[in-house]
Amino acid sequence: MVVIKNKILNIIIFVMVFLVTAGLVKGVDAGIDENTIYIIKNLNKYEKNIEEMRLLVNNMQNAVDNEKKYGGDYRHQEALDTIIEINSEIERLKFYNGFTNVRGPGIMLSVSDNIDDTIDLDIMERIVHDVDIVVLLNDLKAAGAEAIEINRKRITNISEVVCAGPLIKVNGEVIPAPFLIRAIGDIEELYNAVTEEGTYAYELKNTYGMDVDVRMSYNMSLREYSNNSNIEYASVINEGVE
Amino acid sequence: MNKIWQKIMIFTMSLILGIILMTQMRTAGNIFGNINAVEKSGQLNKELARLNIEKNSLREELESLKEDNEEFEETYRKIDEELSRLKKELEKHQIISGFYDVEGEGVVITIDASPNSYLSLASSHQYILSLISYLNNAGVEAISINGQRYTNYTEIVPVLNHINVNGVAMVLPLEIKAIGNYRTIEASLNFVGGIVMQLTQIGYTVEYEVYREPEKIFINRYDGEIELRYASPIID
Repeated sequence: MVVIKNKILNIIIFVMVFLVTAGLVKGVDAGIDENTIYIIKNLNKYEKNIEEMRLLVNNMQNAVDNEKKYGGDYRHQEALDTIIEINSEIERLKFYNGFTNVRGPGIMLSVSDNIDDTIDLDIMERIVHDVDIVVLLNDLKAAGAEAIEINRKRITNISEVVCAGPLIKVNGEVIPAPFLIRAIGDIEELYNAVTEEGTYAYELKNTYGMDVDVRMSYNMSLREYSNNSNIEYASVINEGVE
Repeated sequence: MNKIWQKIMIFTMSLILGIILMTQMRTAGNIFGNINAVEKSGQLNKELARLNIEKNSLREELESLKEDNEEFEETYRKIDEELSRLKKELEKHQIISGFYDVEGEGVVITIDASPNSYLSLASSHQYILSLISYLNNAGVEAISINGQRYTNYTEIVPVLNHINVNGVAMVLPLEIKAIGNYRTIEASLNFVGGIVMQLTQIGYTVEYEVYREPEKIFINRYDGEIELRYASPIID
C-alpha cells in the first residue's frame, strides 16, 4: 500500500511539475511575439524622444519669451523721446548762442576809413582798427542788442574780431572795409548808443572823420554763426540750472 | 529519512516554480497594462508628431523674432549713435551758452597795476575787450572775468573808474580765466605788439598761470537770466 501511495504521489508531482513548466513556457510566450517585442522597444524609444522633445519645446518657448522681452517697441519709443527732448534743448541753446538765423527790428551801422587827405590826422588814426569794431560791438551789446553781425558774420561770445593786416578777421574769415554792422534789439536804444554825443561811434565820426552811417530797420534777418567750432578742452561739470 | 528529504525537495521545487510562474505572469501584465501595445504605440506616435509640430512652429517663431530683433538692434544702434552725437552737440552748446559750470585746461591771466599808478580801468576797457577777442582768436571755449562768465550777452561797460561786467562792478586786479589750448592762448596774446604788450606799455602788469591736464580751471556759470524780446528765430 505504501509503495502504491508513493507511486501515485510521484505521478502527481510529475504532473504538477509538467504543468508548471508548460505554464512557464506559455507564460513567456504570452502574447509576446517578435512584433510585440519590437513595439515594446519602440515604445521606450518614443517615450525617450517625447521627453527630449518636451524639453526642446520648453527651451524654445523660453527663448521665444526672452526675444519678446528683449525686443519690444517701448525701448525704441523711450530713445526717440530722449532724442526729441535733447533736440529741443539744443535748439533753445542754439538760439541763445547765436547759432540760429534770427529776425527782428534793429539798426545798421556802416563804418569805413577816413579817406579825406586834407584832415590833419595820422594815417593810423584814420583807419578802422579791430579794437574800434570790438568797442562798437560792445556798445551795441550794452544797449541790449540781442543779435549782431558784421559783414554777414554773426558775432557770438566765441567770435574773434582781430586785426589781419589791412583786413579784420571774424569767425575765422577775413572781411574788408566798409564794415556793416547789423544789430537786432530796441531800435531807439541801439540808435542812441551809436549816435549820441560822447559815444564811441560819435567820436569815430566827429573826431577821426571816419565814415559812420546809421540806419534803422524794422525787420532784419541775421545769419546764424556757422563756424564748425569743436569743443575739446572744456567739459560741463554738473547739471546747472539756467 | 530519505522520504522526508524527498518531500522537502519536491515542496521547495514546487514553491520556486510557483513563484517564477507568478512573476512571469505579472511581468507580462505590467508591460501592456490595460492597453494593447499597438494602441499605446500609436498614441505615443501621435504625441511625438504633435510635439514635433509644436517644436517646428516655435522654431519658426523664434527665427522670425530673432530676425525682428536684429532689425531692432540695427535701429537701436543708429538711435544710440544719434543719441551720443546729440549729447555731444548738447554739451557743446551748454558750454558755449555759459549757463553751466565748466572745467578744463587753459590759462588764468591776472591784470593788475601798481596802487600808485593813475590807471583807470574804465578808460582801458577796450583793452579788456581786445584781450577777450584775442582769446577767442585762440579758440578758447569759456571765459570769465573775476568770476563773471563771458556769455553772448555780456557787455563790459566803463563806469566811473571801474568796469561793469554782466552788471557787476569790478576793480583791479582782474582775473581772467580762459579754457582752451594754453599754447595757442599764449601765442595769441604774446606776440610783439600784441595785447599783452599793449597792456604792459600803458602800465599794467600781466601774469599768466598755465593749467594743463590733469590740472583744471573751474569756470562758474552765468547766474542771471537772459530774455530775448526782439530777436526771434527763423524756422526753416
